[in-house]
Amino acid sequence: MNYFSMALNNIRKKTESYFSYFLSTTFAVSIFYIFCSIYYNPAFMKFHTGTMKIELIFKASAFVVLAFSGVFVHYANSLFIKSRKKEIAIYSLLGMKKKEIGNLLFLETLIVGIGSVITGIFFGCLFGRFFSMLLMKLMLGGAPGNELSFHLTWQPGVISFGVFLILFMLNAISSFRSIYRSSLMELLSAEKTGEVAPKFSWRSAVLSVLLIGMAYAVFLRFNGDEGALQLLKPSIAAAVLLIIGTWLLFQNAVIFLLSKCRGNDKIYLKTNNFVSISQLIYRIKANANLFSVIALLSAFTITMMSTVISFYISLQNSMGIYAPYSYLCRNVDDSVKEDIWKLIKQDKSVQVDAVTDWKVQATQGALDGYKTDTNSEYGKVESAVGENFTLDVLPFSVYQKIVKDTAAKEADGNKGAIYVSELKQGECLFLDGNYSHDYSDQAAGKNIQVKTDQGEKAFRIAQVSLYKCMGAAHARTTVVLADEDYADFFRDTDRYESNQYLGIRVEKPLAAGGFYERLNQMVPADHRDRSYLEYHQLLFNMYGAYIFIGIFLGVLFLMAAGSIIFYKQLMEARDDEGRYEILRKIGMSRREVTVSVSRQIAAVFLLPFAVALLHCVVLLFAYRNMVYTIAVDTPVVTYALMVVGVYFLIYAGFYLLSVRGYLKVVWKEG
Amino acid sequence: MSVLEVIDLKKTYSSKHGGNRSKALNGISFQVDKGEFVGIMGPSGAGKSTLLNIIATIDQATEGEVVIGGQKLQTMDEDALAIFRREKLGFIFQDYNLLDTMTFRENIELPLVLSRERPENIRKKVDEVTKRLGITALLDKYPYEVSGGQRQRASAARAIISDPQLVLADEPTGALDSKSSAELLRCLTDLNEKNTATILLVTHDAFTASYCKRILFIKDGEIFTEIDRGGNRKEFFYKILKVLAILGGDNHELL
Repeated sequence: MNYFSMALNNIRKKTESYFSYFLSTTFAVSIFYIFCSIYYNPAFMKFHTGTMKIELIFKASAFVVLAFSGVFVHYANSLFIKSRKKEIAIYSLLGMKKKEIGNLLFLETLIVGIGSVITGIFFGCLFGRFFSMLLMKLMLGGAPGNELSFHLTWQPGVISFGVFLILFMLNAISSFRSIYRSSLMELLSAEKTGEVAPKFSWRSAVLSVLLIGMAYAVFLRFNGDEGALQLLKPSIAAAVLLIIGTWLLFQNAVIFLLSKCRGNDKIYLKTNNFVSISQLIYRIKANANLFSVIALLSAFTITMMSTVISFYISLQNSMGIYAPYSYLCRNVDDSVKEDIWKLIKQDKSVQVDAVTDWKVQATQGALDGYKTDTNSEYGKVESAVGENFTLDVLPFSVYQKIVKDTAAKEADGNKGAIYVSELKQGECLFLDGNYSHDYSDQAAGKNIQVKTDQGEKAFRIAQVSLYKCMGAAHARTTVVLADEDYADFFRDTDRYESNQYLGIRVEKPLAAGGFYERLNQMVPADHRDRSYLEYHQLLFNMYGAYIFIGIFLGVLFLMAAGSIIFYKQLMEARDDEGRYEILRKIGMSRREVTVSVSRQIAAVFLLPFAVALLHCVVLLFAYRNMVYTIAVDTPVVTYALMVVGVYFLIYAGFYLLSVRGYLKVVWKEG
Repeated sequence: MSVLEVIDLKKTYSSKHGGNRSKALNGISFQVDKGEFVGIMGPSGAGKSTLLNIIATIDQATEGEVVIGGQKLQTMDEDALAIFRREKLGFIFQDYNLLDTMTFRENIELPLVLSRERPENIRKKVDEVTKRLGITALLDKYPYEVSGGQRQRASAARAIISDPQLVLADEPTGALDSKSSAELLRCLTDLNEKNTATILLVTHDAFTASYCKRILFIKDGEIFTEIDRGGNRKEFFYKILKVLAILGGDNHELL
């Protein structure tokens, strides 16, 4: 028997413990491979998200996968070695040289590593095309695009193989070293005696709650008015607070909680709690780090997945906000206008539903407690509360035509169009140009002062909405007046800055790419808005890529979190074997052992999960505050619940696996 | 009244494929009455451990019967046996078998917690038993913080806390120095005399055995002979040595 066959034999015997490790690393390799293959696929090169190329996002994500895998593999590996100290000691006692044992473990680590790399690449190849197509679909979001041609290059495979091989080599070396450094005595006394009973400190417990509270406060103060860059610093600071707070929480508060349980006879001296609580307390200090990592990772994963999914799914609904018309141009010459009309009549490839040609006059106005704070075509505009601000004026008939022509939705949360059949003289509809209704909430019923031909004139606000009738880019706070009022008060057109808009709405806005092209040839670039298709691409390319990466990374994180806890339990089971033997002799029945073990492991799984959920709720609230800019209510809670549900199910799977594995060891069936 | 009745007990070990049968117990019968302090001695391989394991319900006999407190062990399933163990039996092992994750107090409480005693009763019982064994001051210590003798006393406290019908002690002094051994044995004698605890002690050490009231000698899976203490301990000790000399085999274990 040589080392190689011995190593193989060891792996075969430990299939169960190796299985989840193998699964997670294989999965990581597959994801890495898929991300690489997307990076090297020329079909994706033309996609951009804002200013960044899609491929770059995938490159960055591949690095995240790699870094994460590195940490995971290292952690899992060191757990493994620890759990096998006794076995190693026996080899050593039997006269195997340290170098030989080290070689054996080196080989084992490497065999499993290479195995998972090859399997990972195999699955990556197998599903790579499918996932590329899926990504394409997500990024197109229903818009027409080229079929993805079959594309297989050597780079992704070679890179994945090379990179992960190095990673596993490093780990193999580290396991070799850890054996080399430990003495036989250390190896033999694997059972730790004298592990100090955990002490908790009041100060740290309070501090942990304070830190987490502070982090929450920072997150909850976020809103979409500030740019992403301004949020970067506070969010990093808050994240650091959250991490330290969570760690302290597990180091202290949880120990405090458990010692309270221990101090309470009514709880502690119950058959089902006694053993599990004492075991938990015994391990809590060692587990605290693990718990914080799992809690933070889970919180991050759940938040990321729910936001990305909810954002993506609500994208289609938000299209109306960005592009109510399929094509919109402003202040074009009459000759161009004639050409456009000609094109509309001649082009048989598109079915034009409506064309609206209207004039918007801008004036000044003031409203109690109201201010504008927008960032659009007109640049960043912020007025003082109650002071004059620029507003657009529209006659009611034009407003109704726009609503009708764009088939604007009457949406919930006062973000949609206001549907009224008539507007009395002296009244107006108030279309808030802001992104949130913080300032216009109380506006209905108030009078707004508008500068007219005849000086300042007050109009009573009949209804308020955040509806952007011309699309977000050209949106400005708009006042809709009764036609008679408009005719009376805005006769003198020279007094006002005015814009003439021409909006075209076609039946299938995503299929009219050629039509937009021809229009673009007539309309100068600074006189037109992006077409519906362009907006669509902009949004879907970006969020399609995000949702794709988000889901993959999320599943990877989840798998890693699950298998790390799984490992830890298996390792502890080996440690606890003797204890359960004693308990069995003293007269603990099989059923009682099962219940006790299930509870003990449930606590291990649930403690971090509960904290993760708490973090998630806050982070999702912060997210909601930030995304009200897209004026459709994103159903983030619904999707978050779905994500939490799925997460919980998979997590529960790991729990059951852990309980099974643990009991198997305890009953010496493994 | 007999607490333990062993009737024609046989245990045969056979290798997996049915060949090479070896007999560990070859028809042993005896009785232990309430309040007795019985020792079982015999050379290595005589079947002491097998016998104790069967009485402890951890192992099963091939033939014969064990009746403890009127209950036949053979008729019970694994979980019933577990409950039986914690309610009717108390154990003292050579290597203490205390849980290192628990304090002394918790270790001693364990059988009562398993039997779903009320918390007030548990506290009261623990105080009572530990006072008797002189380990009250050590209740909040962990096993690894104290000496072997103290650990074995905690283990004795755990064995008797549920007022078992029978206390089984398997080489309880095996890992102790002579002073700790004597102390522990005095404790056991005390428990036997003042609390009328019934104790069955397995040992190959004549000094330990001399604390018993009656000794059964086993050789090759059968009862070889039986002696009663009658007089004082010293005389009994020499009596035991004599029997062991006749038994032969492992004289080197006598000192």
